[in-house]
Amino acid sequence: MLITAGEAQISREVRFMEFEGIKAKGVGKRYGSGASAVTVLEGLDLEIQPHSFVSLLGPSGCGKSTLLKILGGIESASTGDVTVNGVPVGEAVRRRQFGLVPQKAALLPWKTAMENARMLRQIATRRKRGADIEEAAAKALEMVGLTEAAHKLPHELSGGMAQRVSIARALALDPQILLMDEPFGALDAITRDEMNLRLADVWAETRKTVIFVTHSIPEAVFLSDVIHVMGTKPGRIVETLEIDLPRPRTLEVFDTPTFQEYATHLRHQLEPKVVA
Amino acid sequence: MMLDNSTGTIARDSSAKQGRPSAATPAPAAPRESGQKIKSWLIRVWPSAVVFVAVVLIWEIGVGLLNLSSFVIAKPTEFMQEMWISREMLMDATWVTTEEILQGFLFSVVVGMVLALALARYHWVERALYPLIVLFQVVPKVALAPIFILWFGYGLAPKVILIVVIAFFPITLNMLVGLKAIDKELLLLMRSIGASKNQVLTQIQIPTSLPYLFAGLRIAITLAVIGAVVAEFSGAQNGLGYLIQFASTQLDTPLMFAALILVSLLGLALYYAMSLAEYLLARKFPHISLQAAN
Repeated sequence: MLITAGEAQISREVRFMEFEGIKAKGVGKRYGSGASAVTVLEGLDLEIQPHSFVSLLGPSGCGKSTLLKILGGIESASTGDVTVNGVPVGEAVRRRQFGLVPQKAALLPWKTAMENARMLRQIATRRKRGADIEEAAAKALEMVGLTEAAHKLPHELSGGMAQRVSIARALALDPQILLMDEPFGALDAITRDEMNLRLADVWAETRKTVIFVTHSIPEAVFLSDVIHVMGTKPGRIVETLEIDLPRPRTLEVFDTPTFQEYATHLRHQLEPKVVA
Repeated sequence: MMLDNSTGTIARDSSAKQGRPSAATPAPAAPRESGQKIKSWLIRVWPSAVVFVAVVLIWEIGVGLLNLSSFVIAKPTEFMQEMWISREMLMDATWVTTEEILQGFLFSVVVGMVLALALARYHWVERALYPLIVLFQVVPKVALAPIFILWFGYGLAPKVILIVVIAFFPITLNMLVGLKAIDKELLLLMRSIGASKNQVLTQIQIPTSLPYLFAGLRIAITLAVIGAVVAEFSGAQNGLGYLIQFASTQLDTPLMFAALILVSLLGLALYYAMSLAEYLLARKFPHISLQAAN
């Protein structure tokens, strides 16, 4: 037992060495130019540890979604630079190190859950079929608990199931980093809790680095190792908070005093500053 | 839209006739018993069937009562009779017109789709051509028929060209809208894995555009029939449009009506052939019939 744990520790350390995480320096984003230019992000420094679950928490319009896209190489920064494992983020995209879970599931309506789960990997590898593709998609669907629904079309799936297919689609890429952009924002509260639990399980199993954008305080506290709290005008990081709650986390975590403390603290942090 | 049988087609049919073929109709997705299907189809069809039969009867009896000359208007029984008497000539003409329509439609599909793909794929093509294509729509293309006859003679070519000129536009426009209707989030997904523009086009945009494309094809096939008839009016040696014009100069009204009915039936048959093609393709891409083009 002890030996196995030790071996696991070693193999994780090896992977740590391969992957030094994401570093952002002086990242800024402006849209437009001249007098009408809008600064969305400014002078942002950020380090994301490998294999950690990191949330970007903030009010609407603070640029957290934009920051996620810059960290994932989907959008380019106006200033500053982002490196992943020491290489520029664009190169990391080419090496297929990112898996995105967007706000809406955005499944292809003519493909089954299984085909949707395969889709990104097929396009990324420029291969229609291959044992690795089948295997990765099947495993990913199993991880999100949708093996039974593999042959259903998107219109036959509930919102939560569709979002799980979307997660499986990203997992099937076997990326180093999962980018999640408010993936549960459109779901009802009960489904959302269920999804959070499931995501915590998936994370414990895969130990992918996750960057998770949300405006829900409980969601961020429940899932994260680290929360970057963002402020507006211009978007910046106002606080970085480490969440020291034991894992594996269950719904009971919500009722612990530590959880409440974090939540209260964050709520004060995010409170709109009303000028009297 | 419904998946199969004539109920589905009729539902589409009516939306097309109201000039909004791209309007979405909410679809009952649950499969029904086939007996119920036939029943609901009958319920939907009988009012128009009754009106149709009534109109034909009034026509037949009215023309007899008013004692109108058959130069002015033919009784339904007269032109049915004419259809039988001149069946060989009519079949011949039908075949000529069908060939024109099919060739013209085929070229329209090719031209329309290639244009739409080029416009969607290359920004400079869109910048250079799109305004001109829209501008070209202002030209009353029917009026080009005599010019095409002048340039290309009395054969098949001017008819095919006129049909293409009339029918490519709804194909291009609808497909282009479909190609651009791609989900913003899907585009982000493609970017997150570094997919190429061609991959986005072939894997996402083209399949997404299919329901829109079919809405365009349905308009185009009816326009192709109009194009063939107009082109034959302007100068032809055979064909249903030619027969209509020939019959009118001879005051052979029964023949005129017979040819007119055949053109209409031809248009109807081609329209349903389109629906059939769509239904077959919907087996592979179920979203064509599930969400309709909207």
